[in-house]
Amino acid sequence: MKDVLERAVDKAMELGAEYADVRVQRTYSNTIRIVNGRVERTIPSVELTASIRVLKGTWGFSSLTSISETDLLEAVDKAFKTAKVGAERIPEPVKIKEVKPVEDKVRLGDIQDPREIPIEEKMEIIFECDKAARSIDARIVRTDYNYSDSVKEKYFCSSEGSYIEEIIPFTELRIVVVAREGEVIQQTIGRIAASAGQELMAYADPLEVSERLAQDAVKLLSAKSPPSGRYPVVVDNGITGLIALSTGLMTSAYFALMPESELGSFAGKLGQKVCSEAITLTDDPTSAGMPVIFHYDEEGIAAEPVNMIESGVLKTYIHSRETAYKFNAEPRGHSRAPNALFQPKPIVSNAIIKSSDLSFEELIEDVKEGIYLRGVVGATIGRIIQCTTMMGYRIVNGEIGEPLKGATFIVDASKDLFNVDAVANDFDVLPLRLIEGDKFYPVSGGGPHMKFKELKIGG
Amino acid sequence: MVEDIASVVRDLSSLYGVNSVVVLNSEGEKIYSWHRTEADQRRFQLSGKDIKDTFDINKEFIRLAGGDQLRNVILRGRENIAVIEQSGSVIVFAFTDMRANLALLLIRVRRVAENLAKRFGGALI
Amino acid sequence: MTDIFSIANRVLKIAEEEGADHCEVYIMNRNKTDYTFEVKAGKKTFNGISSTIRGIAIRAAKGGKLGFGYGSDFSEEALRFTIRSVLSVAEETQGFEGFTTPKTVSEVKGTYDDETANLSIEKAMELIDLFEDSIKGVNEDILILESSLRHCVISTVIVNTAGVEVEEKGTYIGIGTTLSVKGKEKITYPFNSSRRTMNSLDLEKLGETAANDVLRLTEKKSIETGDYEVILSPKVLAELLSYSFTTSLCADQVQAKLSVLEGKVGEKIASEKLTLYDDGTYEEGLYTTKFDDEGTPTQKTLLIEKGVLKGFLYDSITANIDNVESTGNCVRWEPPTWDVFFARSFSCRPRVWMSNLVIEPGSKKLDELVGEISKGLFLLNIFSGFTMSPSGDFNLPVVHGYIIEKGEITGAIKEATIQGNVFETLKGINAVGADIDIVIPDSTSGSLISPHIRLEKLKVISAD
Repeated sequence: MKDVLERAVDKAMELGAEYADVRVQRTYSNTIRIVNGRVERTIPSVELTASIRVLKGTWGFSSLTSISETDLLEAVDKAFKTAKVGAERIPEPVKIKEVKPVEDKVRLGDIQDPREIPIEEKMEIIFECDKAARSIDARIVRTDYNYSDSVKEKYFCSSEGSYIEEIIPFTELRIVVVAREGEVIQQTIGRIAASAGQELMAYADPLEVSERLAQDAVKLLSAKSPPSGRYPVVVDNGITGLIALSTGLMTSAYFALMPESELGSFAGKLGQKVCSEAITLTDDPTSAGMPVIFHYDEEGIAAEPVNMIESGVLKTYIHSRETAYKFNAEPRGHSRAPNALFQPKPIVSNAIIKSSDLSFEELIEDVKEGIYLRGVVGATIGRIIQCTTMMGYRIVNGEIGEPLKGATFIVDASKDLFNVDAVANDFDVLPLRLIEGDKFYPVSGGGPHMKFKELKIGG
Repeated sequence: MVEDIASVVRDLSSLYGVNSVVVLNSEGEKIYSWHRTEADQRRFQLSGKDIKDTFDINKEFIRLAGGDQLRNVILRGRENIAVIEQSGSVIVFAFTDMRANLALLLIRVRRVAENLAKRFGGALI
Repeated sequence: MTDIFSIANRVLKIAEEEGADHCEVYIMNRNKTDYTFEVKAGKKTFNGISSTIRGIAIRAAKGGKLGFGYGSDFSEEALRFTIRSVLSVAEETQGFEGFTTPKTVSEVKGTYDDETANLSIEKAMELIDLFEDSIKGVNEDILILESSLRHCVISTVIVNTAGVEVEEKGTYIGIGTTLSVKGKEKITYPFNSSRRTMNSLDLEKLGETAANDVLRLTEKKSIETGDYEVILSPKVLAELLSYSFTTSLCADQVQAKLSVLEGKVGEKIASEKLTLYDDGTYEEGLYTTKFDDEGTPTQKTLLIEKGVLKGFLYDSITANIDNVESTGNCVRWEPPTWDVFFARSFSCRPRVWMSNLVIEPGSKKLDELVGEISKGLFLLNIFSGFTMSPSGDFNLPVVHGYIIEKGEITGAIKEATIQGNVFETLKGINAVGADIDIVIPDSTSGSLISPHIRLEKLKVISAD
């Protein structure tokens, strides 16, 4: 592999490129979907993706699904020509931040390789979870299990002498349980995901998660509808994670350079207060146990945790080599893409809001009349975050009160994030998927319970 | 009766990597045991009381730590995993090496324990 | 192409070696380019992408059970791994009786030409210049925030153990831009158009249309909530018809009792002004192919005639269940697959879906349709309809639209939402335009080939 990739970048340099890199990714994956005890689909796949990036005044990018030398060299030609012609028509050449070349091989690690496990065993585990959820109560009308596992072999080679191999596993299970009584329908959603192999399904206890989701769905049937209006609101870790993710996306220099875009609100705001000082936001692709883990990003740069927001102040964007040059910052390994067919962009991996040392009880003790919201059923993110929660509770005089059905609320990042007055000391993570074109990649958001002085709830 | 228990336990004994399975009644007496090979049988030195005591100690342990119910006990060695789970008046113990699919093992231990408790319940004395 | 046939036949052989009773191989090769100029932070930037993606999808059956898998790794190892996995996940599939047998493929026109297939980057730059010049020629105050040219060549090969051996190639080309007007930069107008060949893409006319649109769109006025007589552009109609409505026309949904139209064949379900069919053979159609995604020849299938439901769309499996013939609507697409030209892919499981939905044009030109309205609206673009409920209820923000007063366009709609139910909406069509456009909905596979249509009334909720 190394030889053919080196020949490709050498060709680019011979043609006159300033920089070139090649990415190759081979992904083995399995997806299984089981609905109401019936297999809806099981799909195995092996995908090979590759791409060449050439810098000659601007970027030329060529992607392919073959790694034969002929095809790779042809892709180099195309990418180089595209860059050269394009560069003639723009006023300013693109430049990238200098980095030191790296040679490294990152092995798979001590996991249960999903490629070695027969599909029947994976299906049996999901069948049992499905059965366990459905047998909780006769009012459970639908159980929907979406499972997938993958092992991705990544290769990176650059004209600066970098050569990196890394193997990344990923396993996830998304569970939806629907309960119904007459006209009332309630839904709960659980998500288990990690950069891990089959052992995740043991440690994350999907059986227990399934039973709990089913019990919650049934309880919600008799819960009261949430009120509408403005209230002090405490959100759980999943909702905090959603907000962390949405805010984290806005800290990407890629979006900050497009102020008119949905996620461009942080343009020109470096050094300024962008939210409450109770919020410190980090992106960390290296922390063990998180949904997204990688050692090297799509530009061959070692990944590091980055504090984007500290006590409410936007300290730094997250960068690619191109944006790092523009802002005179360091790229710290945050360039991502769903696979080698896509150009890398600086995007968060695990966006985490830092916990404090306040217990949950202390967090709610001053709330006379408020709402505690839990779980995310559906959401759209951007400068305006729209969220439908799974459930809620009233908070009365500092204590958790009656259970409520899920509520809808909107958080306007430019206003409501200044209304967070405290965060608790606990932590949990919500794994999610970011869609790009016809592919997606895993991301997560996490943090403690958070309290908003006031939020508008839609009911 | 032993044949009936054996057929329920086959769910576990047929799983790749499982070396020993023991079933106890509510008194902690072994009412069934299975070992994959003679060597496994010879190496096995746990009595029914050993297994029941371990489970009970951990029940108390969780309670004292501030938790509530013990679900199961999972012991990880370097080369092996031991699982103990109770359902009704039945306690099931399984011992495997690291090649076993742990996720599937946990699912099957639970299933076997529940099936035995349902089928034989009070009849296991 | 013969190279691909030999790969496909090799896969059939491996499948037989691995114990398959039936096997089908689908190979798709997609060559795409995208050249985009975009103004970022006040400066013009360029992004040029090209991609060559080849993938294989395998369906194999053993002992009556059918499995599906796909990949883009063509090494012998990976192919064998995929086939084994496919057979190990095979399940009982009602209606599966072996793969399609060979039939003569359909004749189609206007779907491929060499000039478009071999478009050079230099030529692409010329075309972008031509387009931009025609925009600037309308008014110097128009700002071009972004302009892009894309083209694509797709070739597909299908072989199966029943003897099918077919191949096809098609070209696609599209132009896009985002415009604004000096002094009114808050309003941005995205515009794009796609065709099968370079010659059918009239860049001068498209540039002028986009320019004139954006000039009118800057004069925004508030409107009151109420019921309005409304003209829907083909794009808006595509966003209304391509989701719940299309789903209801698919035989698999009808058979699963999930279709609103179940049992209604022969009934009047829309205005008698509506005649609609699915036509995979439509000349120059964006989803026109000689055969569907399992090798069945495509055809023109009448779905609604003068408002009366005539039938549903089928692939071979659903056709076997109802004892009818396939309508050639086997489509490899799943959400959220998205592509600017052709959303089908080897990585999607075959299912029943539309190809080109065609609405028979009427006789009224656009100015007539507008001229006959005393107080109404003309909707250019709305939010994607993929969020609408399966029952067809929709609640969608208007992105761009005009206000019509006394037969003339007097301004642009400031902020509003349309509300209704697709099935009810179709009953209220009171006129069908004469000039058609070929458009692609935002979030699904397929295209709509349609004129403007006018609705008697549509509920419009003002945001003010």
